[in-house]
Amino acid sequence: MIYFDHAATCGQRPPSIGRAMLHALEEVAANPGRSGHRRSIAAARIVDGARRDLAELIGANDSANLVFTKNATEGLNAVLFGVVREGDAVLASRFEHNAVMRPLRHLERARGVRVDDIPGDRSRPVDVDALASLLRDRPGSYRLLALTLASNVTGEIMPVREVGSLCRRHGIFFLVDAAQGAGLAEIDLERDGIDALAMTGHKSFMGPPGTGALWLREAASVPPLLHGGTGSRSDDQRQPEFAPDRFEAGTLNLPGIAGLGEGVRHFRETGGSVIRERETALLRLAWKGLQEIPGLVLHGPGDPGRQLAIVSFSVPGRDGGGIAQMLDARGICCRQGLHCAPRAHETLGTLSGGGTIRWSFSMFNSMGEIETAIAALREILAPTV
Amino acid sequence: MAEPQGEWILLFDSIHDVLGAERLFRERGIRVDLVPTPRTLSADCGVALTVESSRHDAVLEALASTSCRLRSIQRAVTGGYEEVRLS
Repeated sequence: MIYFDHAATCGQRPPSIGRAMLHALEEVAANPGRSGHRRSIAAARIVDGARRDLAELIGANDSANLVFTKNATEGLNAVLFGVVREGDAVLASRFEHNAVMRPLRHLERARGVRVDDIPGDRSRPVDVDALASLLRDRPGSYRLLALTLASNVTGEIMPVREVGSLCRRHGIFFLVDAAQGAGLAEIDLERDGIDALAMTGHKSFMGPPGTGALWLREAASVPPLLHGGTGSRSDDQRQPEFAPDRFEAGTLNLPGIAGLGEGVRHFRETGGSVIRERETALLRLAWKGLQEIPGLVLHGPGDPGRQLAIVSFSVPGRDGGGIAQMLDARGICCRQGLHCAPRAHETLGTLSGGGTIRWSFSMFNSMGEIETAIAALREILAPTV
Repeated sequence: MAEPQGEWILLFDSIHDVLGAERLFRERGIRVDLVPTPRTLSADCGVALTVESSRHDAVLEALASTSCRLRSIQRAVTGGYEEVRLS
């Protein structure tokens, strides 16, 4: 079986991740930060270790500002609902996932928020010069700008540094959705002027689903999405003001965080650049092989320097869903459709055709698997007489 | 000046700060123990730190270098605890 759907969720993990989860679930089996006994302390150490390791990986100075969430979506919602106020205007790229667009569409209706596009098109998802002009022409107009670190449809890495610099200059809250590419696409929280970074645990970090994290430059600038027990200041019926407790109401997902922490450690030990290099080799081979198939259209930059190991393609005149089904019948798992990013498909011109077929790789895939899948695709698309 | 006598019990706002301070003390060679927070001192459900009596100045110096939120310093006295007031 060949799994090419790692952009949806990591399909293969080092065994140490499952072991860490089982240890937390069956041996530690206690609530972190709630009790003074040794198992509760052991649980708290697992959470603390994962938090510190992830904070260090993303270059965050104070790990207290890195809070655990159940996914990137929760972090994005916390920021969007917490920062964007009645009547504000915000900017979002044409490649945002529904994890950003749906909260924004809700805020349009509920708070009269105006959502404008970051200038860009299919070949240049973010036109930095046009964005600079827009911000110059409308000073003080925008409260927040949301940008995906990399498109989940094409894998294209966005110009976070340049956009962050513009946000800083214009006093705009800069929210980065790093669901794809966290640890792989280069970012620098300080240099890039990022105010909030939402991540998921179950993709590049190889942790389990149901885990994520949100880093905030100023924890006090964002109100929590949930209020409840934290184990701290229990005599006060109001939510604590300090991070991370402020954002972590309710019992944490200890086995999940244990798995995420182990994934982060594995990621760091292997090295983000080593992982990226391996995945880029797969991307190059896949791109080249797919490019040679007649009638197939590739979407995205086709430049490994600014693309994660994600390839999107379509075959005009053929039903993508049918092709994906035939690949599945040959033991090749991939994702076809809109990938929860209809705006991206609208921009790529693939919305009306039902989206694209997406192959997304991880370091666990092999060159042989790419060759097998391309041969299978050739067979599926071969003209029938 | 640091209080020279008795073991100190350090109370923090959050388990995050407790573990952060514990790590810092160990890095600086200060002997430290995690203990259940005495119920008479806090309504919290967690842990506090005790530090060796002879290293109070080093403890204060370490705390001054970190963002860990120290809530109070206590010491055991007959019949309970009293807060250590630092001048």
